[in-house]
Amino acid sequence: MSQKRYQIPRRSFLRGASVSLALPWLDIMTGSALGSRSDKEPPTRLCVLYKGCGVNPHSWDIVGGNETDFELSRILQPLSASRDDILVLGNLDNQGSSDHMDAPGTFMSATKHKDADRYSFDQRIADAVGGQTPLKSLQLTADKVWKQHPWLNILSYDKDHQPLRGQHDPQVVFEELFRDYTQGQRNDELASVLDGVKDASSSLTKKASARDKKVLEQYFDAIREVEISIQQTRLNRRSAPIDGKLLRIDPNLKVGNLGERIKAMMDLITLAFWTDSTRVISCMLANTNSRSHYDFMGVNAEFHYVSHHVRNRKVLPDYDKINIWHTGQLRYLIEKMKSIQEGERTLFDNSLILWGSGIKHGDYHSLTDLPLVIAGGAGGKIPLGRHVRFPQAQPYANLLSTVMDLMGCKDTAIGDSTGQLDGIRELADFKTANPDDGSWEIIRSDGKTLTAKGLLRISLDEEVEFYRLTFSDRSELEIRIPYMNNHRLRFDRCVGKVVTLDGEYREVTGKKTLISLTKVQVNP
Amino acid sequence: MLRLDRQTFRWDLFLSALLMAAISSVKAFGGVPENVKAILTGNCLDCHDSSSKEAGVDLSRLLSGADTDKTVRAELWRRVERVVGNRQMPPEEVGALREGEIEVIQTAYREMYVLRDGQPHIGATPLRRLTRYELGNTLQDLLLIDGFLPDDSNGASTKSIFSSIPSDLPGPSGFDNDASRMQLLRPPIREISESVHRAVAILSEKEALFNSVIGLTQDVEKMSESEITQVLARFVSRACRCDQSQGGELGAAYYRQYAKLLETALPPRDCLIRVIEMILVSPEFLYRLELNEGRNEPYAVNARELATRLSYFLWSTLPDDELVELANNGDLLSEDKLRQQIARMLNSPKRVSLSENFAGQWLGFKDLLFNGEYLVDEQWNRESFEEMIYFFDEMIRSDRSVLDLVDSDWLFVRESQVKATEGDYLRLTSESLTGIHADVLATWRENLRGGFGGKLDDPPVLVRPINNRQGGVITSPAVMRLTSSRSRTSPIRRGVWVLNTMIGRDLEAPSDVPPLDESRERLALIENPSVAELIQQHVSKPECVSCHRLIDPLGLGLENFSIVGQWRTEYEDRARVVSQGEMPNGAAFKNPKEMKRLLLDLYGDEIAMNFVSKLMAYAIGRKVEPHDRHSLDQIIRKVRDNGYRLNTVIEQIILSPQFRCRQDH
Repeated sequence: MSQKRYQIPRRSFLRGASVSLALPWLDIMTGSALGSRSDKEPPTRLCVLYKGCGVNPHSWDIVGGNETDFELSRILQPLSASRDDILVLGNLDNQGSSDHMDAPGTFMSATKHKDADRYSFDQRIADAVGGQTPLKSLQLTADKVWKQHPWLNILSYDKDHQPLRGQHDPQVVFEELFRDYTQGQRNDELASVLDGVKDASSSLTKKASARDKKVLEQYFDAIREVEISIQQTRLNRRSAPIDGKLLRIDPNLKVGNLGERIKAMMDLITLAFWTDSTRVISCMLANTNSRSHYDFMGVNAEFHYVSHHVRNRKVLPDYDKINIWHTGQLRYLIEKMKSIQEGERTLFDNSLILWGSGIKHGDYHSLTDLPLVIAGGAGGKIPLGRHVRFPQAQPYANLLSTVMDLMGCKDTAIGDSTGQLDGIRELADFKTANPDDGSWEIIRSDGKTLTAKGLLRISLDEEVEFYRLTFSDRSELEIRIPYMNNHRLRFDRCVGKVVTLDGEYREVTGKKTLISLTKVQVNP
Repeated sequence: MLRLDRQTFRWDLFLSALLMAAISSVKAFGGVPENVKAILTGNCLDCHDSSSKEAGVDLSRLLSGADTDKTVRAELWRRVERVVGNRQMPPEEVGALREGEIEVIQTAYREMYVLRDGQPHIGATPLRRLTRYELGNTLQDLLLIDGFLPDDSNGASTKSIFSSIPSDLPGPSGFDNDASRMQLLRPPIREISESVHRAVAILSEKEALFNSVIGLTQDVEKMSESEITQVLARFVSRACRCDQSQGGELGAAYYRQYAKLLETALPPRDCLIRVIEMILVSPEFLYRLELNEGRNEPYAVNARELATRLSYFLWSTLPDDELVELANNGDLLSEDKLRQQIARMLNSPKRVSLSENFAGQWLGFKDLLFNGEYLVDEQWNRESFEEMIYFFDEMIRSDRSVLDLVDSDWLFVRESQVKATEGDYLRLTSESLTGIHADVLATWRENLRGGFGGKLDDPPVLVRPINNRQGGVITSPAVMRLTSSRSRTSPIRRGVWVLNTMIGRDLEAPSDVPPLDESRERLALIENPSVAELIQQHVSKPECVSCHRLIDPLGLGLENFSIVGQWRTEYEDRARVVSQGEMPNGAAFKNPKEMKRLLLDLYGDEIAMNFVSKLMAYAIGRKVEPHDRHSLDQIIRKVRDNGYRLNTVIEQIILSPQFRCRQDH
């Protein structure tokens, strides 16, 4: 009899290594999956994408321009086609711990200490809005789980500070998303088993010592949790038209390498939002001590190893390459979500993607001026295509507060938040930091030395970094000086600022290049 | 209920007496005896006061009894006792402690942290839950099913019904059976329930087997209430490892569930299946509950509880019939019977769990199968994994010295390697083994639990390395791979591995490492600096040296082994491999073999002690604490007297109060 009751979806066991991913479902994802829902407005969804290991600040920072007219930095280049879909944020400072282990938790809750309140902002949102979908929230991790240091990969913590481990296997995520649809009856059986377990719990558990009882509480909490999730799934069972479409899906998700895994996860995020299976997702693309190799894209070194790029300059090109690749994954998600129409808008317009790293400088693990991008309009509430750099550093926690408010959370206090950020819901219109007053030019030159004023930028030529001084007429002066000259003048710290320089230059075919510096002055 | 008298444990009376004397001489100042304070002030504070803080250690905070956090204090004291005890500190240049001073510090430490009211104790016994590995074994042994599901493509088993349960995370002990870590996290009830469901479904498909496993003698529909209750009581007693009265109570409780389900018009057999699932998700099954007397001193557990502890330690599964019988009649409490059972259990194929689960986690080679980061290719990883299993199992089988882990004149090496480098090895026949236990690995290969699918035809072969290169696990392909990144070997990672894993020092990564470029610049005068020179320059700062003089020689001595453990004399860029160095005591070595010899000379006893501590932590499901020190000292004495033999370690751990007793506060 039990042949048919023994239902393991056959495809669960069809996995193998190094077979390319095929996603046959994407062609059915045209039009809204929410067609028959009674909701008038499509819901707003939140997706947090965390990429650890920071950035090389010079490769990340946007220099010059203004809020709507700016030049994308090297790492942001892949987003050039999606320039109007993003909001790049600058000068937001986090507090807390930036070590490898704490960085993700700190990013998600803006808290100071390891043992402090880790209730993460995505879970606060999930607790507020997650009750209307079959799954309250979803956690993914594309990076390798390093068992000795599991916290590296954990972003989300629930209100009891229980870490929510991310799912690493796309196939399992798929089954989790559509459990109620493939295994509705199984949920009922499970509920009855758990019911019986609670009922039959014996004197052995009642006679347990006080310490042991505390441990058993965790067990009964876990049972309650499963029961609640079964309830929630029952309550929010999907409507028939979606089932029809889903019937045609046989994902057969096989991922051979990290690149394919992340792509599959981006697809799953889109699928989960499209079917309104959940409205809150966090995804660990790479942790801050990532031992993942990016050999599929020709980088044969660990991400974390190349991220410590100051103590070992040789790794910088690989470091940038990996970060640029990650920005490309954001573009992929943006494009996927934009291809799905939802009423007047697209799925992308109805979502809020927060993309960022828990630390800024990959080698120094700084918590100031975090690299952050918002994509998606959160239901038309965020004007995009902007670069907002706050004139004064703002608490990063205020960004989390703002996102929580946009997502419909009532209580938005978190970490060291002091309120909501200006310039997210509306044009910031901050005074430009380095306005070009027309005076940026070569002030004097005598065939050997010169004085010049302009905006200082940095570029990479093969593996060698050099600097560029931009003038009002858009022409540029190259600066290639010895390491110790740079070092003594702390010249590198002036990047992004308007400076006046004195130095020696060489002229080849009419093109001047500064070859040593005697004086550097930062203009106020 | 049978109870073992506490006196049986023969606490070291001499030591106690000594301590009582010490207590009376103690005049506490901030909790620190005056005589200890004088020794530390006179010998240590020059370097370790609040301004110098050499190696980050500030002892003035200990002495002032200031605000320091309790656990920080305890940890600092542990380090003090350790470095003073093994004469690492004070350094020779400064001048060693005088006769008797070391003992004063040790006595004070014992008084403060090892003993409670002058008596040895074992700390509160944590409640343990079955790990995924244990749950898988238990369900397979209880339900007599094969946990692997056939793969459609080639019939190889790649996936077990338990693999959807998230893996357990190692706790402070380093093992995933650490109760303190498991207590922090909620058990993954949904995944466990699904696995149980699948296991029971597999069983229920085989009618005859189902009936015999559950204990049905006839169709359940024809059975009376009391008959079904009895069946359930018997099954639940076995599954939940409980006694008759508890079994009876649970049997009745589950009969009520059965009756309730019948009312829902579910067929009787399906109701029974559902109830079996309930039992296998219940706290009585998933947790190893023990009776408690609410005492704050150690008392012996009962025979049934001891059988469960024994079985999960040596086999990672539930007790078999013989153990259950000895538990029920109480015989297991006799030390003779217990020793006999240990010997019997080590003779069983189930002992492989010690190699797979204990050694696999301790040495980390489980990662060869389950962490893709270390994948070379499936066959290579599987062979490297098996070499380690065979090695460790041979240690048990022939009761070898635990120091063989560092270096040995026997090895298991993959056939292809032996063939390719004929001159490096002498083949040994199985007769040349001194095996006192049965060879169980053939069985293990047949019923491989976990790992890659597909059977490998050639098991690793027993050889005597005659190349003066290999021996022990330190130079094995497995460990060489696990301590390298995918693209390069790292002497530092290897050195840290040896120190942390083999010697048991808990080194932490430094937070402010100077850039390697800086060292390169300083080395500009030397053409093509070697790896050793680079590292030497890199860690020339005094605060780095204190750890790196321990780490670097160990790693550099292994430079002859490539990422995959192949012998090399030059790097890919043709630079010559230099694997010579100097141990912290000044002894020099020229190659890996000599380095390992010095390693044993210098750290042999620490390595053995570390092994005992690690195995103890695995056995009792928690990190070893200061209060375990008393037992550990006794065990290591016996182990040392017995040539560091592995089975003596196992036996002594089982005979210790940590293993045979319970304490509630």
